[in-house]
Amino acid sequence: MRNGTATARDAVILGAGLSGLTTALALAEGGLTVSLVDQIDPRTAAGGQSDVRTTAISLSSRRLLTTLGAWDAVASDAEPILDIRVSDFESPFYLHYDHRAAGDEPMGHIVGNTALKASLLDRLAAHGDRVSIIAPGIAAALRRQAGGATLTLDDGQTLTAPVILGADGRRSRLRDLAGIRVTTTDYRQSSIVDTIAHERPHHNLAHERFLPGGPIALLPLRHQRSALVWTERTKVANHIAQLDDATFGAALQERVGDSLGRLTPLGPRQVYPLSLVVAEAYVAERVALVGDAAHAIHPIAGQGFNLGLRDVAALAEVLTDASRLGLDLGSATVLRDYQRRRRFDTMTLVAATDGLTRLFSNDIAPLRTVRGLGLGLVERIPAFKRAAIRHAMGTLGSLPRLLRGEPL
Amino acid sequence: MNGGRTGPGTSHGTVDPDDVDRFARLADRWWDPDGPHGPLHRYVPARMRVIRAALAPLASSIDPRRPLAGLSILDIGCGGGLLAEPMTRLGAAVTGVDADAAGIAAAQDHAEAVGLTIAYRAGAAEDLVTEGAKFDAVIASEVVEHVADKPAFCDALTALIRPGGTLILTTLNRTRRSWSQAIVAAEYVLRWVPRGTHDWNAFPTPEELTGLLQARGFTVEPAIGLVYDPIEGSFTESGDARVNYALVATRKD
Repeated sequence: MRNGTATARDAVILGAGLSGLTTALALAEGGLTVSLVDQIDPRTAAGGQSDVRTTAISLSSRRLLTTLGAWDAVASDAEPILDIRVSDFESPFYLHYDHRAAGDEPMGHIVGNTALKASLLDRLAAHGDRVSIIAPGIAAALRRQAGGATLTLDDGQTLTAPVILGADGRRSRLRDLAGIRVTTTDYRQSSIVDTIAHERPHHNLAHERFLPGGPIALLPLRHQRSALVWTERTKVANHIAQLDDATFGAALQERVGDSLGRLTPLGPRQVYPLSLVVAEAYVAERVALVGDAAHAIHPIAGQGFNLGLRDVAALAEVLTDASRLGLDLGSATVLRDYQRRRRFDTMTLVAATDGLTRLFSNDIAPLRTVRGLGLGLVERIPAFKRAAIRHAMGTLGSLPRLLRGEPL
Repeated sequence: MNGGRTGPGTSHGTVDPDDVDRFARLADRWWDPDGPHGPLHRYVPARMRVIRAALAPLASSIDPRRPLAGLSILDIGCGGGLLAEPMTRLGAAVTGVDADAAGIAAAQDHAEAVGLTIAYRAGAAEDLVTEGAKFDAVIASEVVEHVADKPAFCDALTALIRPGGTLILTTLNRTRRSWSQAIVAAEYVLRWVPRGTHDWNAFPTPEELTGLLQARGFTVEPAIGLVYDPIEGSFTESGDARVNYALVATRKD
């Protein structure tokens, strides 16, 4: 990796979070040169312990990370999810996803964001001059011309490439500069994130329990711990997050039951407001969006980053194939190919997730009955369950090469 | 016409502003994927896959980004440069020739704007024969179906390729299916190309072209079918050469 001003590049990537880093790595693996721009140098941010969030990595996402050489370093700390149990309060039914129903591999792994970031940076460093990191850098202006686009940073530095990629999150600056509009749905809900130690082993079972205020997810971590994502109405969430550890643990216990024994929060505890942000287009002239910049979804199904990695896989394949044929990487023909490959998948998942949220966060008696019945019915129809599990694992439909575990 | 233009706000006595506008419009039309040449844009990736696969072994370049480095390629009927530009990006030294002077001006314009060096010239392949020019490879994509005297055209192609060099043709087959698809669908239903663009009777079959080329000392590979998928909006290589196809031929030493 190099610092500072780059020479001519195939792509400029705005945003060096998980999506941006993975995009940079995938493109470099495909033989392309990239500049990665962020306000904060990811190499300094990665060392800190500020991000306690964990990410559920689906089977196909793990294949992608393995193919890019970024999985081995996190594998030792990744806890497999073998089964998922979805339950609804006051309903006798629950939905049990067993990984053996869809093949023999774990349904996913829970990985710490910090460890994943460090692994991606390690792999990027191996690409030497193909990747340069420009930080701190804030995008100030975007200009499109024949054959390329020029991004001007707030310090006056200019970066020109055939295509500029926005991996700069749900409040994407590039999206604004490119004039891509978004549709936002505010759920007035927030997720409390914490790490929980428990008395009894989790047996690699992930729990997702739907409550009137929102779902509570407990995802298995190593050393008899679980990652907690507790979603409530924002006011309530802010209140709960302030509770002392004993009271917080007791409140959680009351909601999820005793199967894990006594629950002890380990902290640090953080609160993330939830909203659904969907860009009206994946691409604009010489611009393409990946990850949260294109679609920040409610983390109810734990699919946000996996959806982002599906963007990365499709984009890397489209751009790499185009470069091998000498095509203009930022041409409408190439970028529309990317949008065409992604749009259906995103819309399906966003619609499903949004629908789930509304259905499961609604404390109306008739709906509760429907939910209870619904879960019971799904539980009894094996074909539907297999399809649902495979979608959660990310192996449904025709996949880009990286998601099948094949090189670019 | 060398395609030289003045930008807005500059004064240059010899350039007619109407011309500038007209060329700008033409360049836009050639390079607008939603414009009249949209179908050709969609056809570029498949044609480039055929070209790359056929010519990379000839170049034996060690730079994966420039697999055609060191090759001289003549693109006959280059139009706005839809293939000339990607071939240049892959490292080839490309000469583009087209009888349509306005198309050549648009091509020149676009190449300059995107920073590619391509030797464009208005004229016919026969002009280059007269000059004694030789190339490592010659491409004639969607040309031969418009040529009345195919044997004479093949004579010119032969003269322009060095011994051991490669010829790549893409064209339309003369079949029942190509009649319904290329003429009825493309010209009348989808309005992809202006009516009367194609004369079905002039479409050559792979057998006819293969015969003409073998008689001129070429080794001709089996035709590669290029099939349009209306759902994906793209062309794919296939064994089905009933409508669009490519022929790759090597001139014997």
